[in-house]
Amino acid sequence: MSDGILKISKLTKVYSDGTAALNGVDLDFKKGEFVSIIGPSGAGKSTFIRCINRLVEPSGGEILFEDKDVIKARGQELRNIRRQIGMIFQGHNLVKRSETVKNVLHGNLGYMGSLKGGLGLFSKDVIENAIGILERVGLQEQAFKRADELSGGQQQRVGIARAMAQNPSIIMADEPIASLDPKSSETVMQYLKKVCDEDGITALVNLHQVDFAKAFSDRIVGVRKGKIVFDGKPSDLNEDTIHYIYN
Amino acid sequence: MKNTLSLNTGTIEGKLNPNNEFSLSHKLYRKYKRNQKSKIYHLSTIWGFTIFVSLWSWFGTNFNMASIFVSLGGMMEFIMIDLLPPNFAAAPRMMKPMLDTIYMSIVGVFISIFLSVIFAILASKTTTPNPLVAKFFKNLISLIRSLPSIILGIFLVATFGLGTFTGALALGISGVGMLGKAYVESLEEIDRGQIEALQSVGASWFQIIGQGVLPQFKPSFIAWSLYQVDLNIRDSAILGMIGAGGLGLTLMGHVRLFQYQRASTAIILIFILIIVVEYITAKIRERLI
Ligand SMILES: Nc1ncnc2c1ncn2[C@@H]1O[C@H](COP(=O)(O)OP(=O)(O)O)[C@@H](O)[C@H]1O
Ligand SMILES: [Mg+2]
Repeated sequence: MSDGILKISKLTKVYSDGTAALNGVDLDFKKGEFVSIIGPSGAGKSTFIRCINRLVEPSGGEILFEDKDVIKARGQELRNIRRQIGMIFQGHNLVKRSETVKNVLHGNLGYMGSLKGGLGLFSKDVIENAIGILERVGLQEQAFKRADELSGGQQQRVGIARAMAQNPSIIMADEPIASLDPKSSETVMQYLKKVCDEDGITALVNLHQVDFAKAFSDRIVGVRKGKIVFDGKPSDLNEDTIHYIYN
Repeated sequence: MKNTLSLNTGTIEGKLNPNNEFSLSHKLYRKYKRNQKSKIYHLSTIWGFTIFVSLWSWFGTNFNMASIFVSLGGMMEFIMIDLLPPNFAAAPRMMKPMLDTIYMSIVGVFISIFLSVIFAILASKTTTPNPLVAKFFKNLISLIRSLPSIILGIFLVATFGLGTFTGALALGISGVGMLGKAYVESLEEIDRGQIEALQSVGASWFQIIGQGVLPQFKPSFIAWSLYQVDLNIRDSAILGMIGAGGLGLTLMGHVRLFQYQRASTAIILIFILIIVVEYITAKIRERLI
């Protein structure tokens, strides 16, 4: 499999309170594909993508990212993996009191020395690159506003820009449009799709809305009670399957 | 997991037979009642204890209304005859001690800020590199807080001798009790999501502190640090009395020599200083936040 980028086998997660969130997940992702992960609330979608960059510690199984063992990685090794995997959050998770462009620059921290990065001493080409990315998501005018002065949809586009600044191979998004109105949801998904297509980035997007998943993805994965119950093209997802996934 | 399962079956049974003794709604009703009862027990214990302690302390201090009024008379006499009018001719010679008080407070605040920032970052759950380190520094801050500045002052005067440096050191160290605790609480209230986002880009611990934690921490950092300046001005007057220099020392000197009209000038200057400093810190706070 030459164009495989992420290979997950027998992934399990049991939280410390005993909740089994993932019950043996096997999934392979190819370079450049846009994958939506759908399923009811509590199915384990967030747990799944948070295991991939180890924001959540997996309990068992194996995750191979570009042939690197993610679960075994420690310290600098783990940070080097993380910097290649962008992540977009439902609540945007921007540093609200910092300027928009600063938030995009944060995407570069993984490539900088600890001290320089901590003090925010970004170099000229890094800053120019960040402004360029803001242009790509249509936010160049907002570059020097504080992040919390932007609308929800704009903040999420900054989230996309921050992920893009990582120059990632994969972008993961955890319900990126769950707290947005339909119009901004559409815009955010369009930008996400656009930048991923243009740069050949693999996208894993947790979505609550099946219609958005169908409209934007190359592939849809259905999760139910910590297990994969559907994996196929959007056109293969019929009413019965949807009903089964959402019970 | 077990709980969720039994709750689930409970819902089904509850729907089938709403009057069932074992139905979910009945169980929840009993739980509600139990909670209410234990709330009443808690409240009565707390109130009972409070009343008991108050009465005990009342008798323990020989609290006596009559003696308050008698002593109030004595106090008025002391104020009217001994303290007043203040001898303002003594004021010019108090300018240097006043400056000493200000220096002492400000140097003290810098010492407190320096130590508190380090301790708080290591102590707070959100920023500590290690839970054991956090526990250690939390305890250290509590220990410092439990040590009154005047006691610390007495120790330091014994070690470093009299003077403003000793005062600044005493204020600086004892300030960590208040400031360190306030910083820890502010740090623990910051938004975890913003920290997580920086983790996800592969940022190091130091980068997360600098780029994710400090911007969020800044407003409360400024507010609490300025408040510590206010507190230090007051405390430095007290520390002065044990020989740490400044206006407190001047005041004590005049009291010892029964020069009450000079002493009252010192008191008035301390008052003015406190009010002016509070005004200035309030203005700075408005500007910066
Ligand atoms: N930190 C946690 N501790 C314990 N249980 C958790 C935690 N996070 C999620 N869970 C549980 O794991 C399951 C899957 O949750 P999640 O991955 O958030 O699902 P989704 O994102 O699909 O809504 C749920 O039952 C949830 O309650
Ligand atoms: Mg979720």
